[in-house]
Amino acid sequence: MEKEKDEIILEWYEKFGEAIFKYIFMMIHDYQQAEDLTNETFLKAFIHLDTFKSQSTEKTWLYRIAHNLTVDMIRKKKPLILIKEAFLLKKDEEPLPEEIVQIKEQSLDLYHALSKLKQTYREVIILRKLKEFSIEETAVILGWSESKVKSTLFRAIRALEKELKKEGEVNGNVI
Amino acid sequence: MGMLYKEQLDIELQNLEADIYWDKERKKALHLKLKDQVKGHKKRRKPLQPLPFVAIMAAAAILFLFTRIESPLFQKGEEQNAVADREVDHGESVIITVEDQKKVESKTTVFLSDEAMLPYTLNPKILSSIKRAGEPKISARKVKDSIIVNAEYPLKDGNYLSIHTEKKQNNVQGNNINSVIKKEQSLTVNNKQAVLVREETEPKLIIRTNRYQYTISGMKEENDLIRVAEMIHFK
Repeated sequence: MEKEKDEIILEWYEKFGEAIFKYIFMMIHDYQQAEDLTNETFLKAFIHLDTFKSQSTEKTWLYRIAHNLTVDMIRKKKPLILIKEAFLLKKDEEPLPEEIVQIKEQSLDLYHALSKLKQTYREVIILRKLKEFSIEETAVILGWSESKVKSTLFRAIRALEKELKKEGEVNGNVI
Repeated sequence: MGMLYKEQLDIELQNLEADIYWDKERKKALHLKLKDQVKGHKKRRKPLQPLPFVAIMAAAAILFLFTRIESPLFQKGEEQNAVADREVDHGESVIITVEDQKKVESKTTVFLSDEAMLPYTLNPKILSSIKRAGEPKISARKVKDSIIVNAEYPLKDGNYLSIHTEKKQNNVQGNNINSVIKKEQSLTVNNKQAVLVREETEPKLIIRTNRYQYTISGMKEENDLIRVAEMIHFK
């Protein structure tokens, strides 16, 4: 059984690892922490695999774990960011992470606009529009009601359009 | 028109997923890390598995009986144990002062212990096999009155160059287990006694001083381990 468990998790990593990394990366914009959280997601899944009930798919279950870990991290990180700003005077002189995570130029505006949205808006757009989860699955991942998913998505898209308009005005681009 | 705009936005959102590229080497490295962790987790659990439930219950019952016997001899023993526990607990309840925090958060040097420091930015020119990919992760703990720090420098291949500091153990010869399989070589690095341990996967270098032990690992080249050791500034 144990052998099966680690085989399952490694198989799931091959199947969903990259998509989950991208989801976390779009939420926190830090590739190192996104890698750490991706790792933690699958490790947690391995430890709690016995509690996984096939009521939801493994994909939805993994995203739910990733969502919980990411939200926890964002909550914990907030005060830390303030401390860091107060203490750390020198900026990182290391090479930028572009070689590790790259975003094609044609999608950069959209990525930036998305990153300016508040967390709940960003997340519901990522899950519904990028990851193409159904309303029901999104509700399971976020722990929301289906009506909350619908109404938040509606407002989130409006906010995104507004951001894109703003960026378009600055950059002189029109979608 | 509005409909067209929305459709276009939907398509662009779908494309965004594909337009983000994550380095394949990093993905692979994470896969290996996960594999190790999963295996490690299994190993840790294994020793408990052969113990039958009845044996565990019996051991618990004996333990319970022992703790319930009220004799002066046992009470004396308990007092002695309590003193010993308090001594052991020194490392757990600690006060981190502002000075401690400043030492650890310095951005010019990595404080490893009160006798050793490492340049925050390792000199990459003299390290042939590594390419750093970010700031070191610093984790500090306080044992009695000493701050002890571990540092992990992320590398581009997804591995970490790790410097692990601990209070000196009695034996510096690796773990002294499987010394036939592991090849160990005694050295003097940076005027300190050291041991180079060649394990199956990668080598590690252990430096011993009178009070501490520093383990450097995460690099394939033995010479690079030695170069990192030479960068440590000992007081």
